[in-house]
Amino acid sequence: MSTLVMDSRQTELLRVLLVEDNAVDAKFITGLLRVPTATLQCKHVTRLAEALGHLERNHPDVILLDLNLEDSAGYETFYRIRQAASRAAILVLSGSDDEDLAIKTVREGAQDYLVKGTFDGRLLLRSIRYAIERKRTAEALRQSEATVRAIFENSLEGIVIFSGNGICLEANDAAGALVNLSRKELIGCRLCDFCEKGFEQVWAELSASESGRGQFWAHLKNGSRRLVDYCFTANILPGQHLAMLRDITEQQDMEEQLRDSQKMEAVGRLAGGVAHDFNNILGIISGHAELLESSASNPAERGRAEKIISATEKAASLTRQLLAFGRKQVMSLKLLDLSTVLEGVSSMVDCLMGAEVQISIQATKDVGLVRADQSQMEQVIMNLAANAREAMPEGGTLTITIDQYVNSTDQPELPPGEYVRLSINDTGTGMSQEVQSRIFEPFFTTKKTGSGLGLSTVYGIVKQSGGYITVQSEAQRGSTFSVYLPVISGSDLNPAPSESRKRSHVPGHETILLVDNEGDLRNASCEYLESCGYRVLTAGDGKDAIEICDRYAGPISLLISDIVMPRVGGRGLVDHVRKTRPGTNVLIISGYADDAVWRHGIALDPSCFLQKPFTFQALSAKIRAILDKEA
Amino acid sequence: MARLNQLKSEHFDPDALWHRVHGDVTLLRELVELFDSEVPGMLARIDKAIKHALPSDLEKASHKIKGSMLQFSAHAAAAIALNLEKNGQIGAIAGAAELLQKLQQEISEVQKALHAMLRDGAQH
Repeated sequence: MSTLVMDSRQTELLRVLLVEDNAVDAKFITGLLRVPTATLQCKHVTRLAEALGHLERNHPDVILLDLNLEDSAGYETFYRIRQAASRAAILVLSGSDDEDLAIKTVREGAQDYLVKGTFDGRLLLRSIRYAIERKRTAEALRQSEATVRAIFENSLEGIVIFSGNGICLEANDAAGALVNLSRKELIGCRLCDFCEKGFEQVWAELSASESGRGQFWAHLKNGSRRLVDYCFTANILPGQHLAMLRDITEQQDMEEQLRDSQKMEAVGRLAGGVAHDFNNILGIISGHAELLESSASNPAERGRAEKIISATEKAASLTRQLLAFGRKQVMSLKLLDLSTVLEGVSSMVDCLMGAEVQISIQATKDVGLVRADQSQMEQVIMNLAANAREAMPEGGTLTITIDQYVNSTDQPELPPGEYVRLSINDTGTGMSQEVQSRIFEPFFTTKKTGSGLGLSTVYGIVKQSGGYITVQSEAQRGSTFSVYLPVISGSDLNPAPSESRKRSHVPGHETILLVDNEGDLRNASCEYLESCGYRVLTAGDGKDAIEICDRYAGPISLLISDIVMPRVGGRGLVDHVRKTRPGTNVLIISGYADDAVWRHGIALDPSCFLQKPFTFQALSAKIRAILDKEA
Repeated sequence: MARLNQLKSEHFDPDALWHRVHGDVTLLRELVELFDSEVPGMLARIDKAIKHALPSDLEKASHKIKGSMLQFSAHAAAAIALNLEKNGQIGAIAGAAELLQKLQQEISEVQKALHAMLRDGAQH
């Protein structure tokens, strides 16, 4: 007797269903399979109905099937069994050496077709094992295909299989949606039909390579275009290429907006820094000019000093605009009704427009309050109105609208929420897309005489106020600027403390420690304060000031200090003074806005801050406000 | 003692059968005994189909006995059974009786050879 060599796979228990109505043949087969008996568990049935009943309750690994039974014959027998046992391997054992039937059954899912009398036990057992392996492989392939098909059909990315000449052979729904077509419409189309001229060359290079990545603009039939990111794999099958497609148009837009925003932020920081340095210089000029004015011996000298002061005020106004763009301007926030603000400046708008421009104001009542600086809002209206006037050299209509706007969709340029909307529309020349994209950049202007700060200032103020601004424009049809400021409601309706604007020249007698690394400004301020009657101690930086504090025996009523100084800065000095002289008041002076003070970590009442450049009268008034409050 | 090669003829290939059962005399005996008990019924079924002129029954019954003859490497008997099956397929009952008679004779010879194989211990 021959011995079968078995590997670990062969020792696996195989469940066999033998469907055979000839007792002698059945005995032959079970006899042949008797070696080795331990690996097989064979169930014998003689009729199709019996086999189908068995398959309802059992899952054999392989079915040995005679096609001609008492209750069924030929292909019908195979078909019924295959339907009932899709996971089992089927081995047809037939007395007919019928090639056509053999091919048909194998093509339809049988794993093998053996003619009786042509096999021994060894061959039969091997055929059974091969049949099971083939079935398992086929099942794995089927599952793999089902998985790939599910991924293909449900992918959010477009997947397309192209022929060698770029014709779409297969595509998923996402690919169709990308070019605004159904999947069926896309199949048969040429890729290059959607692409820019010259993409044929790119396609040729891709086809010749193994893989590639890139982007192209897809031009849709409706005239729009989408930016498509693709990942290409050549010859996934001979002459068939795979392309994964992703619409990145919106992502590209977002990135552009982010870049613009970052650029504006950077320019804003730069503008703020420049304004700070300018303010220090202007402080020196205006301080000395005030001293000159007060000591002038004749009207001519006094007049010159006044002109210098006037010029520094104009220059200070310019730096205020820069600070506003850089969002570093000192704000006096309070609850505002924009309609009231508009009423206040309407006469100025009238003057600005002149006779050639008709003005229409449509202010809806009770649209809600916003938290903003009134003078800044006035500046926003005036700057936008001035911009509109410039756009209508031949005259036209200016429409200013205030209404409530509820945004329920999350847009990059405007988050959801309730807003008061201020819209300023003109019927002027309009702007190109390129101009619109740069319109809020500082120093960008389309006018020969413009400073390029008007709209950038508006942008800065709106951002500083927590709002948003959009522009819509069409060449020769006019432009609309819309400012969106969040509606303040509920617990937020508490007015912010406002700084006293009262300025007066008041004499004093207390001791003041004045600290500023700008020597000229420090000296001028010192001279002025001494002229007011104060005793003034001066230092060029925090370290010197600390030494004076520690050494000076008498009381120091007020520390006036800059923030950014060499060696020891304002924060270190203020901390020291508060520790060693708790009775000393503090007044911070800076070319930056007050938010810079908080960034430097100095906890301070906002009323104890004075932004450079300041007039000596303003300084005097501020000093008295602090010291008299203390008293 | 008859040897396998002495039993070999154009009608029957005992060597092929011997290899098919892996020289398992016990299995061969079980098969022969089963065949002996089954074959009268199988032949009777063919006879009945011929006498009642039922071609479909003739085809089925002939197909069955053909399968068994192939398993026993009884090629001549299998060939006669195939002819009977074809007669059944085309509905030709005429001549079937003669074929059945030939089949009976062939099977009788095969049975004798099979018993000789068993009796002699199926030695090469």
